[in-house]
Amino acid sequence: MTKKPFLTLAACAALLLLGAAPANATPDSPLQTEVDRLLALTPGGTQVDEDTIVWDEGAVVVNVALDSGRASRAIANCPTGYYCAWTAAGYLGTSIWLTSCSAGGTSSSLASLGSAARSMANARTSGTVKRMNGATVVDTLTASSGRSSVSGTTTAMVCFT
Amino acid sequence: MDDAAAAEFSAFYRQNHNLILLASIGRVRDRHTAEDITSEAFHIAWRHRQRGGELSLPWLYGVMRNLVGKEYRRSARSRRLAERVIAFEPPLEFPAESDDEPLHSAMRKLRPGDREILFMAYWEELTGPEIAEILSISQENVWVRLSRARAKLRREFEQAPLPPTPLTSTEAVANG
Amino acid sequence: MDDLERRFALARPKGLTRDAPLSDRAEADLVSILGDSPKRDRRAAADGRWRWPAAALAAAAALSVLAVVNIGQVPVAAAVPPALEFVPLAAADHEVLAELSVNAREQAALPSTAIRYESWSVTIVPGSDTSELFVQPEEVTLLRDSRDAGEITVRAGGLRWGAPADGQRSAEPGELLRRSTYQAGEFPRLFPADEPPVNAAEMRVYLQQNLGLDATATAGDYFNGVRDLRNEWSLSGAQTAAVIEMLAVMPGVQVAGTTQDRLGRTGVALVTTSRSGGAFRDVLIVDADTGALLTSEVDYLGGLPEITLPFPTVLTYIAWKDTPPE
Repeated sequence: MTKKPFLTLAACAALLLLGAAPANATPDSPLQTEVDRLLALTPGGTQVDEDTIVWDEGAVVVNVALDSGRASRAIANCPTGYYCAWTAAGYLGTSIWLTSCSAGGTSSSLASLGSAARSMANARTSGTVKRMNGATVVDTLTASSGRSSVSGTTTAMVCFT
Repeated sequence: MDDAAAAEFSAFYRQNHNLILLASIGRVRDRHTAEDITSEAFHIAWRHRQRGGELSLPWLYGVMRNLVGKEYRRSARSRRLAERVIAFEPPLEFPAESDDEPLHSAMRKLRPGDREILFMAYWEELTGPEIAEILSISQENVWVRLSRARAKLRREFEQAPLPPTPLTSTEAVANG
Repeated sequence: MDDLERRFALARPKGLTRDAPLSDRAEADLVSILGDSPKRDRRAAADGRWRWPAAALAAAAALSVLAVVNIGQVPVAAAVPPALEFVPLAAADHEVLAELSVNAREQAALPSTAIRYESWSVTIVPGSDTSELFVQPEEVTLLRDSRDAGEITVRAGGLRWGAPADGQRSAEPGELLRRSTYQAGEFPRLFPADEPPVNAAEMRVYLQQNLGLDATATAGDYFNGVRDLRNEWSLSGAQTAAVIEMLAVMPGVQVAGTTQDRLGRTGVALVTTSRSGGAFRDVLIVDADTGALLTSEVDYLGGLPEITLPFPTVLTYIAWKDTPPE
């Protein structure tokens, strides 16, 4: 099977989204307020678009969506759009914030927590996050849900869009 | 069991070594450092395999990027004590075999993230899904980022003064 | 654009396509990697005696040096609490642990369900490369009643080390960061049923059953299990003694010496680097006179590709302060 290099695709000219430098939303709009809130929560990000923040030169991309009319879906200090794990029950202790997600499932190791995860949450607005012990699915978290006490071993969380 | 793991690892090593080395060269100060990073990445991969982890290119690529990040911080620590360590822009030295200086000048003016995705697409010839997985972004975002990087490269390229001058290390520090 | 693409591809270093032969160095590296035999480490684990992996030993030593050099100063590139300093004790480990256990059993402290602690942790966002330049712990209070209703309150603590740089802001000490209220039956419980036991063997089973620790759990896993327990129960003297006696017989547990914890309290430090091939050092500091648990800490010593923090470094600490003063 030959692998097509990514860029021999004139056909994708339609997807070129070039043009003006990214415009920020108006300073006081709810969207910009939400963007500012996320930037303050996780320093180091750059707003590249009205509703897009990137960290690490695009390695982490968050598309900010306003949840019109409903209460914020952040869970503890896990911001909306992330899924997180903590080392203490009650969403306390060391936390890891994750955003990688895909249709087929993107797995993120919890090794960097430094000790066992004892609570976790899916603060994304759609999709599911599965809690894995090795290859076994231990639990499934639907959007905007959390587990305030978790025993056993969790090696990774797998996010499905 | 050990023999099978060693054979599997050797195949993985042979298949991916040059790619990781190439990817490191695009990111760090010099070839020697790139070779060290490549070597360390595969040492880590072997330990990972021994602990029961799976060997995959995206994982290995992530290890390499982490090692590159550590190298950036190691170099930056001595110079930026009081600043937030956000991103370190290393001077980019193209290997001596290539003599396309206008292109090199234009590349040096890009941000590391833009350079990186151009390398991944053109040098390392990774597919869209592979790039998406390595960078943990959606394929749509790969398109967007790559398009922007190409546009920036073209703008830098077209604005380049003639004749191009060789880059000194102080120029590199001033960039970005 | 195609023209640029072609020029770019031409600028690629020659001879580094995936199917090109490996360089001499690459071939030599492969031999050296596969020559690192895992068998030695497996033997060490099999005979039950535990040894400090060389890298962990060096990193642990560096962590102590870091303390001497940086005490009171902000470490470069990132602000973390300074490393703990240990003053080794003259007595043997088993003697120290036995004395701590005896002291604990003499305490009449009653168990309580009001927990208060100061804690600090790194926040990990994969891909983020920033470091904060100040350490601001949190003050956490957990209150629950017999119906498992209750409240968890998190307030900002005082700045401990360093100061915010331009563009960073710290919270006002005492500022309410989060309050979660739980109705009856909803309070998060890892140890829901019985009170902790007062016997070491039962304490081990109690942790195993409630936390899902299996036969592969190491001393470090139990250190963290004790931390989980202490976050839910303020232990009585007898329960504390059971914890100490349980840990005292586990392979890999050492008495590092006396130390001052993050609240300036003097205690005896128990340490282990049994988890993840020595990547972490788990620490429990206990009061020398009462055996009471003072602080739990996890330090990262290096060796895991998933963690991109410079090492060695403190990852987290919890300093309990709900025990009423004598």
